Amino acid sequence: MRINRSWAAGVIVLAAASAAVTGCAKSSDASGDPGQVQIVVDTGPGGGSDVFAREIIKILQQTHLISGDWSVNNQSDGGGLGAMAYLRSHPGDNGLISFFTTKWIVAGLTTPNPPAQLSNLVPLASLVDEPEIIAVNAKSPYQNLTQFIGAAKKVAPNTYTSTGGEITSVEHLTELAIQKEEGVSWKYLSYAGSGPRIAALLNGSAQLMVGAPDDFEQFVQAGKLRVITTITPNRLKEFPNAPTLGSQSLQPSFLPSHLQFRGIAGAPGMSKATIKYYQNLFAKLVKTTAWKNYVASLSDTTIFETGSQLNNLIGTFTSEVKGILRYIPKQ
Amino acid sequence: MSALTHLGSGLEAALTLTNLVWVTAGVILGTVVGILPGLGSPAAVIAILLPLTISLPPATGLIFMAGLYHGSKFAGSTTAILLNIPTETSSIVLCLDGHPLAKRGRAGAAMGMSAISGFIASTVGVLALTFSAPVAARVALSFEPPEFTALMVFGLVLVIVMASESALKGFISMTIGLLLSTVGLDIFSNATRYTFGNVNLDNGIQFLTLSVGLFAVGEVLINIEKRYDTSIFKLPWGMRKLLPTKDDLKTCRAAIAIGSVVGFVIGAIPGGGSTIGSFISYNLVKSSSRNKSQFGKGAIEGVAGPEAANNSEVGGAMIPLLSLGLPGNASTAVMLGALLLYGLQPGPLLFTSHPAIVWPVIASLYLGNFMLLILNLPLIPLWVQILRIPYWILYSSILVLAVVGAYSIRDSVFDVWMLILFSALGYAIRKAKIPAAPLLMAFVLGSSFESNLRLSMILSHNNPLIFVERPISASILAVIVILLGASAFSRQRRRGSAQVDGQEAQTEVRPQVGPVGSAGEATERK
Amino acid sequence: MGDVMRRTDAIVGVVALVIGAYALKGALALGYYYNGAPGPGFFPRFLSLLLLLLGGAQLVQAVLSKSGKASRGDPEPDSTHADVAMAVQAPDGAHAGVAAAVAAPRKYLRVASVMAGWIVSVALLNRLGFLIAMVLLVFYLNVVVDGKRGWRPVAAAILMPGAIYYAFTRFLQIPLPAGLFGF
Repeated sequence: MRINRSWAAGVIVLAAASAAVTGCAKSSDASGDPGQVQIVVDTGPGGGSDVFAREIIKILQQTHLISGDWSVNNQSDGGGLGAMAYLRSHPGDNGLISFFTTKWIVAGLTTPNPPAQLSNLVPLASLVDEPEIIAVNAKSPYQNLTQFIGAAKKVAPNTYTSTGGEITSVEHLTELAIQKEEGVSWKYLSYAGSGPRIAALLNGSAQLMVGAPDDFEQFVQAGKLRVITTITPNRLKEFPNAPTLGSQSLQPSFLPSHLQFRGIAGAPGMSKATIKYYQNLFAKLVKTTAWKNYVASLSDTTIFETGSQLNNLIGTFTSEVKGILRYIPKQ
Repeated sequence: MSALTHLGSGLEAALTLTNLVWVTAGVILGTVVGILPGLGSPAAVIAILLPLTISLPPATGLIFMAGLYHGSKFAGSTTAILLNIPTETSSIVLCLDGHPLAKRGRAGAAMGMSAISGFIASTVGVLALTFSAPVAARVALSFEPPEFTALMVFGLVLVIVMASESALKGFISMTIGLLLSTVGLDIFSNATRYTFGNVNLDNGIQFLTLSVGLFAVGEVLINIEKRYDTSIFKLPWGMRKLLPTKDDLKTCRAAIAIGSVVGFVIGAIPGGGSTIGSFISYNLVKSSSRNKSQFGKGAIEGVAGPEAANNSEVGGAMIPLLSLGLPGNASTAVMLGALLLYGLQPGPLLFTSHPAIVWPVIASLYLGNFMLLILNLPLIPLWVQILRIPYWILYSSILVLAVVGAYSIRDSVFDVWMLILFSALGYAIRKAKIPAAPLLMAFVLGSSFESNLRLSMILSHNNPLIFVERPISASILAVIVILLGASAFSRQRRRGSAQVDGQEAQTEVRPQVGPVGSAGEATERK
Repeated sequence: MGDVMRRTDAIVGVVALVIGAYALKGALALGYYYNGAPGPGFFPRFLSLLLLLLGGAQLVQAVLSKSGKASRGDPEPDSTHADVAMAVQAPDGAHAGVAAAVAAPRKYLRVASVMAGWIVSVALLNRLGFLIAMVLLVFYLNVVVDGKRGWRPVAAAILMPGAIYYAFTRFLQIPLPAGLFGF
């Protein structure tokens, strides 16, 4: 008897609790605004894309462009593969977007049987183009990349060392393209984070490093590192003494014109109204002063494109990067 | 301004009422959130509460984070001691002696010792940081892949030495741990290893699923072979017995000293890793202790030593973080992210361009530890009451919380399945009398060992002599050889007298039969 | 105890050999050297060979040893927990071995039923949602496996997962699996 009564009590309480605790499905209202949004990034908390996403949420909230709750969802597996797979497995979720980088495109190309690719998602817009720059230790004799390559040609192959991320990273692909074009080769040390790479540069175990401007800025200001080349169409004002790659006649023919850019992609099956919503939202974002200041602080350039222009951007990168990928040694 | 003056003004700035309130709030929140198994690592706690901290002004936000850090570290020690759940790599070692202490009714003493030794070590760490930052930064930079490889070998050798009771099984455990560490995407070659095509394994096996499954749930499964109506822990009544005694403090003097120094040095090495600090400290304290045989069964020094190392490490880790922007471990990596969000770029200029923020942050890290001591020490008897919960409620809670912890790593049920797999593994290896610690330790050390080995080979053109040609790595290797020699020698001597002690060894396994160990230990029985 | 231990040790050896062999197969498929330096297969290859060696040694030791020697694995730091836990709850001081032999089939059944319940509840996480799945699990554990009766197990089954669910999803904003009901 006691069991029956407590059973009944339990079931009633449970039913009441379930009724009270109703979840909210992430559908959009008529204007396409999904309210609560999750941004999926491919790094853990504190990583590049994570910081980028949080900064953008901050700006969106400060400029009152959004009123809902936006959060960051870290899916750091496989350099973008995990993030893409996550979006692909949540189709129709209007509140799920991601900040992709060109790394995701490369991941899709270099993985046999990838669980998802960028083409499985809904590209919404591109945001920024991130320049890559090349730095050396301030104590080294090279003032520009031509000098470094010249020195590399005089010694046996693989005498010098550079450092960067994984072997399919933008840094390494850039270096690989330059090496193949110039007929030189040097060793490559892979480190997972930017910190150990800078340490390697500072203590001399590596002579060269390709990276983003804010990786190096403080060290250049402190006089510990020197930027010897920027891979940009024009000189960067943060590094006035660094020549561009093109001006040194070192631009490999198969180096993508936009090496590293960031954009937004949504979960597949997103409603047309929501797509429009995001595109309009971010179009407004890139016009705000806060955004412009942030982008300038990163030494990036805004490239806001949607629709067919965006598809062109992605498509061009994909075909261009295949040119370099064939040089990655097979296992 | 000299470093000491900076620290002084930093402390002064930190000691405002608002900051004190925030650091206290951080400590409390960090403890409460961190006590939930699966969230215990400071990195996870700080990451979760990041949106909250970002809405605060920089100095306050960072001070709040300092409180969170200490609160969650303390909570991590709590779950390790009370429930045998290592929530991050640095608390693995705490389970080895902390949990047995809890089972013998000395949970409060263990937790109290953890807080006290942590505070003392923190003091040492902050002072060492203040005075040695520039020098330490230069030494830290000279650690390149060969040095790290040697350090990892040292760690792995310690793992073997620790499992010396049954070497063969310890070795097997270690090898499996090392194999598990290779699972995932290899950044050098873009090859996937042992992932069976599953992208969820590309980042390797998640530490939390292995540690909670192997240690916590594995132990639960062993315990529930019997049915329990009450708690399985013997707890004394009375507040005074729930805290460390003066004898405990005296016994642990050397342990705290050793731990503080080791922790700071290891912390100052960028990428040194917090596991290895607490681990080396544990082994050093054990080998220099007078009650070696108690280690692994509930030696209070086995808690004091590693905890001291864990705390002075923070001071050490500040050096590469603030001077070079190099995070030493996951927690500092998250702090780095937070600094970036505040627009503070860690690097060589941070100390000079933003002294008004940096020094109060360092001061408040210390302050956080002090607040922790004041707030949590009296609460320890309260936390210990968790052990009074009847086991049939406790173990089901652990199973539920474990699911939460595993799922919340990255919103994936896959990790929960891995947790279940490793729980079964944990049960199986316990039944087979295979030690679990070498597996977990080797797993943690394995990837760092392998990548540094490969980096060294790239640097040296595959010349293995690089390890002996470089002074620091050669010295570390020399220490290893000496250690192995000493260990083998002492084992020979022990084996000679083992036949005589065989009978005594049998009775030591059941500690409720009277007090065991040296005079310093007061065992309480109800 | 000695013979059981020997058999367990032998099984350990065999399992190690099997894992080692499988790992070796995977390692050989990976590049030993890559780009002029040790490659992805380098470390796994040595490890699997080592495991094969160790497994073989363990098997040999188990088969060849006399009964007493094989159980020397006992006073280890980690498995002390198991011995302590069992000894602590044997108030009559009975030797752990005797009690274990008597309870052997029942204890494995208990562990198996707990694991089974756990596995089923996790399999249902995405269908029933975290809250319902865990409430059912705890209810199952308390009432079916542990045989508790009365209001206490039911209350625990509802309140504990409920409190955890509330704390994580509402207070900490950490998503937990939502089922077909939306929560």
